[in-house]
Amino acid sequence: MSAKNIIKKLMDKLISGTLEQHELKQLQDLTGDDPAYKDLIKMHNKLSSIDHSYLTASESEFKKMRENVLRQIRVQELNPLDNKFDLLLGKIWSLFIRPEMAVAALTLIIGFFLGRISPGASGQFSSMILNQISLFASENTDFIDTKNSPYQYSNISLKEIDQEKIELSFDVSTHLQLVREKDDPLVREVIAQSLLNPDNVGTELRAITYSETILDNKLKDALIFSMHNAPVLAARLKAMSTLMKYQTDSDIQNAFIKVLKEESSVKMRLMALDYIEQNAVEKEKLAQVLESAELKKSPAVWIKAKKYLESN
Amino acid sequence: MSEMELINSIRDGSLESFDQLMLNYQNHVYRIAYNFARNSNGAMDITQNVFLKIYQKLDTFRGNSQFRTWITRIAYNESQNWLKKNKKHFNIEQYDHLASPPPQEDEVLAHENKAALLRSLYTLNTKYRIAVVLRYFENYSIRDIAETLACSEGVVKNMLFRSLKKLKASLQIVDLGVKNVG
Repeated sequence: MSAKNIIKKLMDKLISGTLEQHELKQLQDLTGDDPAYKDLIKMHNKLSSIDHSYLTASESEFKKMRENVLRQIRVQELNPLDNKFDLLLGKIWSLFIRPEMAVAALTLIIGFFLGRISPGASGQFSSMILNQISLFASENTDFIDTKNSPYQYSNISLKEIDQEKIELSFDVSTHLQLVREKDDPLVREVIAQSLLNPDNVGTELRAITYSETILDNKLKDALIFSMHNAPVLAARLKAMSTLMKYQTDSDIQNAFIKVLKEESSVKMRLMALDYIEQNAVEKEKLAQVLESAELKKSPAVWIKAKKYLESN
Repeated sequence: MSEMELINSIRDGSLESFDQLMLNYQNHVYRIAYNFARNSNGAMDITQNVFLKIYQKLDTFRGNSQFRTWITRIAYNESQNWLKKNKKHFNIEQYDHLASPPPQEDEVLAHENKAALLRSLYTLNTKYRIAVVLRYFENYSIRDIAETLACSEGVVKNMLFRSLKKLKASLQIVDLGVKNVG
């Protein structure tokens, strides 16, 4: 084999990352001081040794991304007609695996045909849907059920009628507008839904306000979700202010620790710290956060937290 | 849980398993995406689209190739689509991960060298750049790169040689520029 061919073979191995140490020596001997090869080998070594870990996002950004993906998947599974035909077939099949989704899908299909057959049928359809969602709302008591709800709510709007009633207006397969008692499970469900999938900040802020008077576990988790994930700072702040009134709840305390650790707004981090100080949240938890790289990026918060830890 | 078990669990409808899969591959997909978007918002946007596509297409994964290669191919295609849609908003000077220098002074020089090298990467065309990224940053074999980019192994090697030459030339231009300024 000619020297040229051997060099070519060795260069191939170099670039493939399979070159042995003794072969590198052979390559360097054969190419000598030829600047063309020298430069190639140098550049190869430079790229091989570069640390590429700089290209990453924070865990909280990744978490938000994953939550968005999961939310969109749930929405897609509920709206198979939005997708292509082959996808539609796959999703219809998956409906049979999940009974609650099968019920929702059947309701949609029946409603669709009723709407086509009889002009007066839309009222019946609305009533069917209302029964279904009311039943679902009264049965689910956790925010996780709201997240996994087979019904997709949109265009939600909320209006307080008086001290005891709220007008709900939303689309869920069809448009519904109704007035319910504030402590009605459907009111809780719609409020939780509007925090889970906020259409606009106005509704989101109203939902947070209304949730304050009827707070249960589901709405507490919905508010925590909103405090961590609402795209608009005003909504995150409002959710936080509402939750700050609850002092002994460990879920809320942990949620504030998370804010301190992951929230991008310095104002919210300082508020979280105030809450932690006022409610004597376990110092061990705070000490752990103090060590996190994320917190060190906010010197104002970090110094305040450190002072608090050292004060007692 | 093995990767295949995870995939089967997702096929059975477990979103929890899909969350785990995203967790396993989020950094990898993000890095590929970043090389197209050149800023963190765009990269995250692409990453989200990639995972949605992966979920939609998971049934078509037959195990003929490595799962990582399959994901990379989707990431590559989605990144290209994103780039086409966002071309007019594209700013060649955007490199937000290089915007702030590292805190330690003795790292500044190393950071500048690295920054120069990474900037020069963007002088390569997309396919060449991804070949370099996969080979050197993601430790892909030539075969896996060929599969991802839908070309032969010979073409990949050729692309890598040409990329090395071009990177060297770009860095020499940068060096000359610095010397002239000094």
